Amino acid sequence: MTRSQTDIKPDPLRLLLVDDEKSFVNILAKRFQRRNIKVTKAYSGADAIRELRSSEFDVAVLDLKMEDMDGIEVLKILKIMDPQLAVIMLTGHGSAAAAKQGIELGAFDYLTKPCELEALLEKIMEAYEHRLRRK
Amino acid sequence: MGTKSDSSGNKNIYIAAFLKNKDWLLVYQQRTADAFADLDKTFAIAMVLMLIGLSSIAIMTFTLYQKVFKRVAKADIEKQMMRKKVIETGKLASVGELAAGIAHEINNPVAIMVEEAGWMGDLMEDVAFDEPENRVEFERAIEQIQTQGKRCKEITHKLLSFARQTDSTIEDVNIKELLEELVAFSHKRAKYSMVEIHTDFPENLPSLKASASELQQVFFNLVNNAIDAMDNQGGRLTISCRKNQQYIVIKLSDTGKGIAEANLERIFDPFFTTKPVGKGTGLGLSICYGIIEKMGGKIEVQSSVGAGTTFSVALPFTTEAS
Repeated sequence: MTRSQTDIKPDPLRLLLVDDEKSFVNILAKRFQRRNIKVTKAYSGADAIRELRSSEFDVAVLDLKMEDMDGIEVLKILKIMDPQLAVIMLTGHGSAAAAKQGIELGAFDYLTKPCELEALLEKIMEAYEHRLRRK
Repeated sequence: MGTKSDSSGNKNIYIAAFLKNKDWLLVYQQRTADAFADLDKTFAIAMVLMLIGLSSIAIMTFTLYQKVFKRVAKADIEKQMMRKKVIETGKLASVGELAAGIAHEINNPVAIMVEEAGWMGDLMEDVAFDEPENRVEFERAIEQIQTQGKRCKEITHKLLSFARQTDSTIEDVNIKELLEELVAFSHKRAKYSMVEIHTDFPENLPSLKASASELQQVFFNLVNNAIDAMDNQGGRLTISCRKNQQYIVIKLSDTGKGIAEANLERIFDPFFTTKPVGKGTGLGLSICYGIIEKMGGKIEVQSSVGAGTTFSVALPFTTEAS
């Protein structure tokens, strides 16, 4: 983020986008960046943990079903590393049980994939405000 | 004491006894029929009673036998209907599992297509949207939509070929092709559970006369069970095929948690499951058993806790001559 940008606009929301479906992460990142969100892409659970180790994020969008690690396990680790991080889970159909478990583990909320970009954006903003209030 | 017939032919009993120091002899005469009248009467009544008793036992035995026979026949019919029902219920359960799997597979490409189309919409909002860099983005987005659309088509195509036959028409089944198709289908699920699938199928196996959809159901269940058994820690599933006399023997060995000896006898029972409530119907293996038995085949299981489980399925094939 360059200084000149932040002079005009407020600090962009820092979003960590975690999904092993690369094409999905890439296109979603483009669309979010256009909406003044600073997106960091993580293509696996391990990637997400690595990113969180080096930088701070406001909100994370986490796919629950990834090939390298179970999304719930990633969520547990992310919440240990940064308890303030607001995590929105993306689940497939019929994964309500996993989503429920995620919320018990401290996730902010969940959405079922595929979801509308507007719905996801709204949820991200909600999560962001929630985090600001808690800070 | 003695008996003697008199002139008119009646039998008499004579009893003699000395009285008063043999000064007197008492002789007593009575007709035999008269003397034994009570005994004969009792004997006759006893005989009649015995006859009545015996005949009623015979009648009862016969009717009971008839009743039991009818009941057994009825139970047999009920059992067959039950088995059919169990197979149908199981089919529904596996169709449900399949549908959930497909929905998940299709979700990702659909989500990508939706976002790519949305991105094109975003770009069109720009005033100068016909800039060359936007054009490149448009082309890339369209290509992505096409690629992901094709991916969806492949998934549905695979599903259709997998579920083409839901009836139980008997046909020539190439078991090698059927198993390879199934492995390709289970590949993704196995990968999520960190299970490696190894196959060992020789060429030139004779074909089976069977219902392809029923065989798919059998092996789909066995592969799914094996992956479930290794779900937490991952492992290795080996599927092999061998010709043994008149049978093709298919072995599925996993390195999962194994089956406790107490459960081993019950795994083919309908509704027996060790999975948590709502996860398993307890029908999978009983259906496999029913289908294999109907084909004249055999299913056997060997398991040791902590080391893994091997299911062997022997299916009879008919030779060219027969």
